[in-house]
Amino acid sequence: MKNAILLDGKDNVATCTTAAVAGETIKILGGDEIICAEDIPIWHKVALKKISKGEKIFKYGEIIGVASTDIAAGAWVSHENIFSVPRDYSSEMI
Amino acid sequence: MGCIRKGGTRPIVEVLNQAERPTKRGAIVMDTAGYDISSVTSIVAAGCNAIIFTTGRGTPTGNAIVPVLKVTANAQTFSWMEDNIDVDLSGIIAGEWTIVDAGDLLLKKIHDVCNGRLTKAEAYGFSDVAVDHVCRFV
Repeated sequence: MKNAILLDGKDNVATCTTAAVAGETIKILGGDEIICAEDIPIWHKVALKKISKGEKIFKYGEIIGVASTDIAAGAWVSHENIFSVPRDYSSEMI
Repeated sequence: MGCIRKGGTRPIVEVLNQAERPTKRGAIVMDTAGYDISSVTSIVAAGCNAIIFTTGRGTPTGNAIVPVLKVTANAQTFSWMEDNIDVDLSGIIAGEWTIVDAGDLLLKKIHDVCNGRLTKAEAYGFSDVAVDHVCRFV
């Protein structure tokens, strides 16, 4: 039974598909295993490695935000520790 | 991004206006409202014969003209809405089924519906239709 899903090889977070408890080993579909650093609710994100403040967060292979603080491997990634960086779509118009 | 990922990886061969009949085969996108009932109505108006509706959070949607077969890979959604969702493919997310195995099961279910087996929405008599008058996104 897997407890999380890795949506893209570029991602530094996985999505928990069961609620995770601190200390538990999370088995990731399409990825490896990681020890959960804190309780994480179902459907929330877990950091797959240490993410430093200012580093980009990748999910679906896309940037979904930037870390507002250092995030430990196995920690809960949420609106509490990342913030959105709006994309400038107008500059990408053909 | 989740719904884009659900669309798969094949190239998009055609982009249609609402209710416009396709001229090609393959992955096709239609410019409709995003919500369940209006998007289904628009595709049916273009000539679609059966809707295979993938849903994570669950939906009771049915249609007056074609069968709507609801499919989820979310075990929690299936257990909460078992009377509304036709196919549970959560074995994929649990790492217990391959996508190919799940595809075989889904194809069998589609085959059954095409042969007249009622979907859950049909059994309930759900016959939702909605047409958006102002809804152009592309």
